[in-house]
Amino acid sequence: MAILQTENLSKVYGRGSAAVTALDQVSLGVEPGEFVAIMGPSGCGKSTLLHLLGGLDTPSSGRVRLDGADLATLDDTALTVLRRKKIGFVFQFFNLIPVLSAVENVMLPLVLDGQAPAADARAREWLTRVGLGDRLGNRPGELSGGQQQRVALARALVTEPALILADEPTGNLDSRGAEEMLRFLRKAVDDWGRTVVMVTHDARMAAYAGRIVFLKDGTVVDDTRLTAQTTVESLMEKVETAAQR
Amino acid sequence: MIETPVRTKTERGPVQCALLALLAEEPRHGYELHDRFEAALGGHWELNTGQIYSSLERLARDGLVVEEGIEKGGGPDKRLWALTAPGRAELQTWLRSAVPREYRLRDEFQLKLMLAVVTHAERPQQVIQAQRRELFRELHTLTTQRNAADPARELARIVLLDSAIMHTEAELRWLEMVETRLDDIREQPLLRPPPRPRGRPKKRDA
Repeated sequence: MAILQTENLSKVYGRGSAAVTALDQVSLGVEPGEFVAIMGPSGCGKSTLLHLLGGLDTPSSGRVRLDGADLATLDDTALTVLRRKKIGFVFQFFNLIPVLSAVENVMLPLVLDGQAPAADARAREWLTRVGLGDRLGNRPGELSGGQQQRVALARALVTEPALILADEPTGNLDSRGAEEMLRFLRKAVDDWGRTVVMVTHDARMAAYAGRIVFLKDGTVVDDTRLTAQTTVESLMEKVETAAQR
Repeated sequence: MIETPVRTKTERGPVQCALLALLAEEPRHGYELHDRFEAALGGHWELNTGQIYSSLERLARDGLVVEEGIEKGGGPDKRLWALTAPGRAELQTWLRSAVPREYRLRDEFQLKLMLAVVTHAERPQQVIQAQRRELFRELHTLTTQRNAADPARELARIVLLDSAIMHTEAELRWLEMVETRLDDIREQPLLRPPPRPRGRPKKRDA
């Protein structure tokens, strides 16, 4: 079963002559274990789509199903609980709490979920997995952009959600931080068994995914798989030809 | 302002210049030059020995290298070569000059796109989409390869892959721009060739 499914999803902002259609009848499915990038020009509706997928916004029409459950049928409490258990969010501007240390930031979702006793150990484990085992006590202000975003990723993963939703996760990072972040997102899929849906405008980052969905003016204009069909030999041929140009 | 000279095609080729560079530290034998050339580029640029020896002969004729000796019983690969002063000067010029970049002016994708626009045989967006998909697949493959390479041992390969990656990114940005331009064109008039004159050419007055 698809972990995420939208059915004729639409979102309109404003009314009458001022109405703007941000999303127009989008039907999309994401299977467990996929790494999907959503791309498109400014204003194409990609962030709107991500917010709807995460239940952070409600559609004007159509449906979002998470693990089969229609988000619109859930009340506020049920939706909050579902989000906490099944989804981890990573945002462009990290959204860490500046007065808390890395480990305290990562513990927070578990504490809020009533799992305080296990929180410290699990937070340390995830921070170590994202390569920040020696930064546990540091506050966000003492960390680089790339490190802060990795704390945010650890925080998203600490509740063991099946799905990670990332909105321009590298938008605020330099190229090195960005590459590191994508390697860990890739790891989240390959090694840690999650599903990742990422909005990005950066082609190189999108190319880490296994599938790219292109949006334009609120609709899906293309949906393509990226798994390499090229063999190592033919790739090396291309590299050599480039060398001789 | 420091002027960087740009090489033209009639000047010395890259293999000859590379040999000058490999002789800069000390004189070397022919076989050493072959091995060092390939090692410097991580095996991505293979040279056959014939190419090396004909280049060395040419350089010697031009006074840029000299033969300093030969190992006993050795063939051409055992000759010892050394850089001369003019050779060293030529090397410096080469290292300090820029390499001209070529751009593909006759490109099949360009052709495909423009024909789609003027003949209406296919939606240009479809042409662009097909190209974009392939470029993203390549980018995925290249990035995977690059991330698997060891920077400590495979610098040449990584540098090459980075170049391929950035060129692919540039093409994707160009496609995005082309797509935006297409949105602005409702219709592109079919270019008409100039009319050919018909009938016999008029007789010129004597």
